[in-house]
Amino acid sequence: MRIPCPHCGERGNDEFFYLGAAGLTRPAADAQPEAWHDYVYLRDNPAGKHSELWQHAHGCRRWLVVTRDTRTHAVFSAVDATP
Amino acid sequence: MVEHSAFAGAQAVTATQGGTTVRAIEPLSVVSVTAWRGQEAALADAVRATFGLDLPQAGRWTAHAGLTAIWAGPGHWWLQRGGRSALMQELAALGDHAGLIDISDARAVLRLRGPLARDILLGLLPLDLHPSVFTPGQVASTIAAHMTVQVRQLDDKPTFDLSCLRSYAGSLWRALELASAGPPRLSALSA
Amino acid sequence: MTRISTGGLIDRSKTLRFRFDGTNYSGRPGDTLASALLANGVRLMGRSFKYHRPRGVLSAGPEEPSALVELRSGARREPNIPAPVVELFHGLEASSQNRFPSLGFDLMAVNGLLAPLFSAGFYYKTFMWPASWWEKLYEPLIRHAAGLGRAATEDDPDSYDRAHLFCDVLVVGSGPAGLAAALAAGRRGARVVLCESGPLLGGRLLAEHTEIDGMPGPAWAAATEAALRDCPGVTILRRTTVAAVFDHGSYVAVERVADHKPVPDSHEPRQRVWRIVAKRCVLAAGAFERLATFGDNDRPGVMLAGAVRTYLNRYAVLPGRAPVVATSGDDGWRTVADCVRLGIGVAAIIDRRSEITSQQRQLAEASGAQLLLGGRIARVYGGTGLYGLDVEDAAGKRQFVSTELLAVAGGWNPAVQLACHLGGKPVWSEHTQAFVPGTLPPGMSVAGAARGTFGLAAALAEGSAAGAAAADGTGFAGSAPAVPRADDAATTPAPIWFLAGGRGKAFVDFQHDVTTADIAQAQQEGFVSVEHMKRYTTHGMATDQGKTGGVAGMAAMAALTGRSMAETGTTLHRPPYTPIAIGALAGHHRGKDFRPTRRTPAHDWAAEQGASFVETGPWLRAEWFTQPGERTWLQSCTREVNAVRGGVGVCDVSTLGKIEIVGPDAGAFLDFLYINTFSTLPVGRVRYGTMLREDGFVFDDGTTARLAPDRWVMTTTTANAPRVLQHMEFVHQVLRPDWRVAFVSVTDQWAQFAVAGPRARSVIAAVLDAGFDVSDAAFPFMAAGNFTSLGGVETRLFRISFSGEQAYEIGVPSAYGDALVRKIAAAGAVPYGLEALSVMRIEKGHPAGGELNGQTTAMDLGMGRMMSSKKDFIGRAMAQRPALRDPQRPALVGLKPVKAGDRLRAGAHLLPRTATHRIENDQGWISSVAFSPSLNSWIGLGLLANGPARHGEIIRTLDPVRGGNALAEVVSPCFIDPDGVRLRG
Repeated sequence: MRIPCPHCGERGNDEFFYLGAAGLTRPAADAQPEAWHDYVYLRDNPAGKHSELWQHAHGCRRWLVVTRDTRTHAVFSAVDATP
Repeated sequence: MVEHSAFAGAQAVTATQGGTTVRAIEPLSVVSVTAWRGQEAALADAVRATFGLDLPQAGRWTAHAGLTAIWAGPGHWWLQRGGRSALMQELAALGDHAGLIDISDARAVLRLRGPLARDILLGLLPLDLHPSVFTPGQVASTIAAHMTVQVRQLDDKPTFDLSCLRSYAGSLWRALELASAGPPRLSALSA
Repeated sequence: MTRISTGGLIDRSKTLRFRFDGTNYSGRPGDTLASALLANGVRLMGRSFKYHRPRGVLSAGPEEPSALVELRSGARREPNIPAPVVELFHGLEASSQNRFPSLGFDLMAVNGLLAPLFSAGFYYKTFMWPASWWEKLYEPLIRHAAGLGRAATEDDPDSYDRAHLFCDVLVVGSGPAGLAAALAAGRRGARVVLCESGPLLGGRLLAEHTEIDGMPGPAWAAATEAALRDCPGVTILRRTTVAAVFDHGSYVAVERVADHKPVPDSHEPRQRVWRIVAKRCVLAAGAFERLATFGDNDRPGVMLAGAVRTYLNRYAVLPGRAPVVATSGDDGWRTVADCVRLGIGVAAIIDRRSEITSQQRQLAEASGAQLLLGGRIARVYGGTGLYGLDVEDAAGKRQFVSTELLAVAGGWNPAVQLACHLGGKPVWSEHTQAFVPGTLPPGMSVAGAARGTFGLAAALAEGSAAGAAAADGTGFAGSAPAVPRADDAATTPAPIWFLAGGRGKAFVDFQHDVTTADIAQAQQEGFVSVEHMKRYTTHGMATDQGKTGGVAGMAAMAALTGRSMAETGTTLHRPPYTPIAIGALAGHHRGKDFRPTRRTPAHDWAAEQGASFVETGPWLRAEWFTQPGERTWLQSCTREVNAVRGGVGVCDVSTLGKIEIVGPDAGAFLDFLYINTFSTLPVGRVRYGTMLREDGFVFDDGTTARLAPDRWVMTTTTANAPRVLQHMEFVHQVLRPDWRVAFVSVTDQWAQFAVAGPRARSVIAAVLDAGFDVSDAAFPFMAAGNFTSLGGVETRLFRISFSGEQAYEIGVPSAYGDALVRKIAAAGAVPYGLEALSVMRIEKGHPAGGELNGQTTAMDLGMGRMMSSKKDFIGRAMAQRPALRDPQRPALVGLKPVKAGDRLRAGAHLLPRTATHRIENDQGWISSVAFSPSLNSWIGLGLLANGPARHGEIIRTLDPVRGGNALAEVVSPCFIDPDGVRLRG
C-alpha cells in the first residue's frame, strides 16, 4: 500500500503506524460510562469506505486521517488529523 | 579527546567506487524548533528578521550565513550550525513563538558525495531520488534498513546528507556499506 | 549430437564444458542447460515427484514442470531449477533429482505400481488408519519419497541486494508487444523500466522465424534495444522477473545478477530484489503453451510444439529424430514450417481438424510427412525416451510411427498471473480459447499474447498503443507512435486438446503427477469447484504453479461435469509468479545485519569492562560485567549488587526513553498524561508518574523533572519509549491541538548514568566541575538541576533512585558520554548491568516489565492513591469501572520462599496453600523473581488476588511446566529499607 501523506507526498505503508478508526470524539470528563465505553471499545467494521488514523512515523510524524476502501485498499484521501 | 564520534570505530572517510565518498559530519549544533499553533508566520518573520533566513516549505531546506533550516514536519524545523556553538542561546528569542529543544547530539549525519551516490541510495532509501524529482534544496524522512533516515540533497555532484538517531549511527554506516558493496546497480544512473 | 549446423543465437566459436549427473558435456555460449543437454542427445533429465516417472524437458522456459535439476554443489546447491532457464556457463554442475539410485534406473519407480496409494486425496485419506502404520510405514515412506531435490545444508555464501526503483511506466516482458510499448513510452520521454526475465530482449522473437520492419525478429529486437538505450528515461533490467503486484503501483521484481556465472564477482550480489513503484504498467508477459492431455503424455520426447521451435531457431538444436507434429489448430504448422526450412524431415503430422488450408497441405507435402487429419495419438512407446507412436486417422485406422520427438500444439494460455495478484479473475474467451485477464489492477494494461492477442502484427500494434497510452497517463503526451510493421497471416487459436480414455496415465500436472484419473476421482467425491479440486488433487500447486497444465486440469473437470470452460473457471493466482529464493527476500538483513541495533555512547567502554550484552528491542544493553574468576552470570550479578549496596556502582541508563517537553502549557499537558499532578511541581524537582491507556490500564511509568518553569524532561521505560512518544503526539495533535507545548525525543541526545550506593555523592562530587554543592541539603532526594562536568560540559543531574540507595542519574550530551562514564568509574564506581539493576528494583518492589504487562491497573500496582480526582487525565474514566477497583483483583505483593534455598520461578501460579492444583483455585502469578544477595534468598514479585490484605499468609507457588512447587510467604513488595532511609541519606 502507498499512502499520500499531505505533508511529505506518497510513501510506502511501512513508513506509517496504524492506530484505528478515526472520527471519534473523546467524551467529556464527566460523561456517562456508556459514552466512554463507546469511545474506547465500539468500532464500526465497514466493508468499504473507512476512515482511519495513521501516523507518518518515519516521515513528518503527523497523525493523519486516511480514508480508504477496506476491500480494495483504494485510498480516497489522507489529511492531517488536527481538528 | 573528551568528545567522541557517533561513528566510533568507523573510518572518517571511505572511498567507494568511482570517486564517491562518505564521511561523518560532526559535531553539529542543532535545535528543534516547533511553532505554537497559529504562530508559524510570526516565527517565520522572526527568523527572517533576526537571521536573514527564510524558513523552508514542506520537504525543503534553506541556509543563510552558516545557519541551516531543515523542514521536519508541519510547523517544525531543525535549525543547524556546523561545529559546537551556543545555538540554544542564539535562538532564545524565538521562544515566544516556538518550543526550542537542543538535539545537537541526538542525531548522526553521514555525507555521501559523488557520481555513484544515487546508485548507492537506490539500495537504501525507498524514495525517488531521480534528478527530475529530487533536487538540491529538498529533504525527506523515510525508513531505511528499519531505521528512520532523513536525506537532504546539498548539490548536484550529487551530495546527500543522511541522518539517523545517534544510537543507530553504526547501523546506518553498516547499511551504507552494504548498499555500496557491489558494482553499480544501474549504469545509467552513475553519470 | 543433434546440433543443427547453422543458425541459432549461440556462439559457435566458444565451447563451454559442464557436468550433468557426473558426466562431462560441452555446449555453447547462448545455450541453456536444457538446450545443451538436448544438443548432446540427453533427453532424460529427471524423475517425477510421486511416481518417479522418467521425464525429459517439456518446454523452453520458466514454466518447465519436468526438467528440474539441482544446480551447483555444496553451499551453493539449489534444488528445483528449471533446466530451460539455466544459462550455460563454463564449469556448470547440475544433477537430476528425485531419483534413487540413478536417473536411468530408479528403484522408486515402483511407486508407479502403487498408484492407488498415491491417488488424489492420498494425504487426507490414506494415512488416517491404522494409526500404528503412521510411524512404521507412512512417515518413512513419505520422508524418503517427498520433495523435489535437496536444499543446501550450509550457510549461503552469497549476498543478496534489495533496491528501489521509481518510474512512470513499467513494462513487463520484452517480446514484440513489450518492446513496442517500451519504445512508444520511452520516445515520449517517460521514465520507463523494462523487465525481461531472460538474458536477451526479444521474447518469442528469439524463438520464431519472423520478420519485422524488414528485419529478422532477433535483429529487430536488437535494433529496438539500441533505440531504447537512446531514450534517456529508459532503464532495461535483464534477467529480471516481475514476481508480484501489490497495491498502488507497487511491484516486486527479482534480478538474477550473477546466476549465469559460476560464482558472483567480488562483492557482487547473487540476486537483487527490486521494489518498483510505477504509475502505469504494461503487462506484456506473453503466453505459455499448454500441454495436451493423452495417455503417457509425459514421456521424454513429448514436447510443446512452440518449445520445439525455440530449440530449433534459438538454440539450433533438434530435440529428437524424425519429429511428429500434433496440433489442434494452425499453431503447430509453424513447427512444420521451421522443420521444412531447416531441412528436417517430419515423420507425421496429426491435425485434430478435418479441414486445413492449401498452404498447410503444401507444407505437409514439402515436409515429407504422413498427414492424418482428424487423427489422434493412440499410444506412446518408450519409457525413458520416446521411440514411437501409434497414431489413428479419422477412420480409426491405427499405425505405428517411428519417432523420437512429438511436438504437440494444444493452444496457448496468456500469462495472466500478474494481472490477477490483486484479486482480478481471468475470464474465458471463446475466441482465443483461453483465459484472458479480467479486471486489471489500477494502472495496468495488457498487450500482446498476455491479452490473448497471438498475431505478431496485432501484438506490435497493441504494445505501441499501450505504451503510448501509459505515457499519456503520466503526462507524456505525443503523436501516435509508428507501429513496427509485420506481415503475419491471421491464425485461428488452437482449442484445448483433451483426449479422454486412451492407454496409460494422462497427466494434467507433470510436476505433482496429477492425472485425469485424479481429476475424475475429485469430481466423484464432490470436489467439483476448481479451487476444491486443486486442493484435493494438488493440481497446480507445485513450484511451476500449473503454467502448462493448469488449464488442462480445468478442461478435464469441464469434460467430466459437462460444463463449459467459462462455467468451470480457473483458480486464483497469487504471488510470486515464479519461485523466489528466501535469501533474495532477506537481502542484507541476515546474521548480524538482521536488524539494526542501537548502541549507547558508553557501549565501547562497557565492552572493555567485560560486559555481556543483551538485546532489549533494538538496544544492546550490558547485562553484567564478568570479572576474572566468575563462572556464572549470577556470580557477576551478585557481586555487582553487593558493590552498589556496599559502596557505589555505575549503570548505563541511556536507553531509558527521554522526552523533553517545553511550552507554557507543558504542565497542563503532563497533568493530562499522568494520573498524578505535575503542574504543581517546583522547578528543580523530580516526580514519579504513572500513565494509563484510555481503557484505564497502566501504560508506562517513569520520572519527570522540571528544569525551568516551561521546560521538563520525562523518562519512560526503554521498551515503551517509542510508543509513549507516539501517544503524546496523538494526545497533543488530535485531542489538545491548541496547547502551546512542544516535545521531541532526547533519548539519543543525552548519555545518562545511574550512580548508586552509599558513596554515590562523593563520586558525583568528584565528577562535576569544581564549585557545585551536591550536599543533601542543597540537592536532596528528588532534586534535579543543571550543572557542568568534564570542564564546562552541560550536565543534567537528578537525585532519583531505582535501587533504593543514595543515587543520582547524571547526563551529558552523548558525544561526552564515553568520557563521563570513564570519569565516574575512575572515581571508584563499579560497573553494574541490567541484571543487577533488576535485582535491586525487585528488592525495592518497583514495578517493571513483568508488572507493566498491559493487564494491570494503578490500584493493582499499589498506586491507586496517586490517581488525582481533581483533573481529567487519560484513562481516568475507564479506571473507575467497578471491576477494575475490585479488591479481589490480583495486586502487587512480595513473595519469599518459606524454605531457605527454594527457588521461585517467574510465571508460577499462586494458589492457597492447601488448595488442589486446579485452575479454579488459581489466584495469581509471579511476575518477577531474583536472587537477592541482600536477603540471601530468592524473592519474587507477584500479582495475587486481594494481595495487599494477605501479607503474612503462606501460599503455594506452582510451576507445573518446570516442576516447581514451593511454599512462599506473602510480604510487602518492598524487601529492603521500607522507610527509604538509605535513598535519602
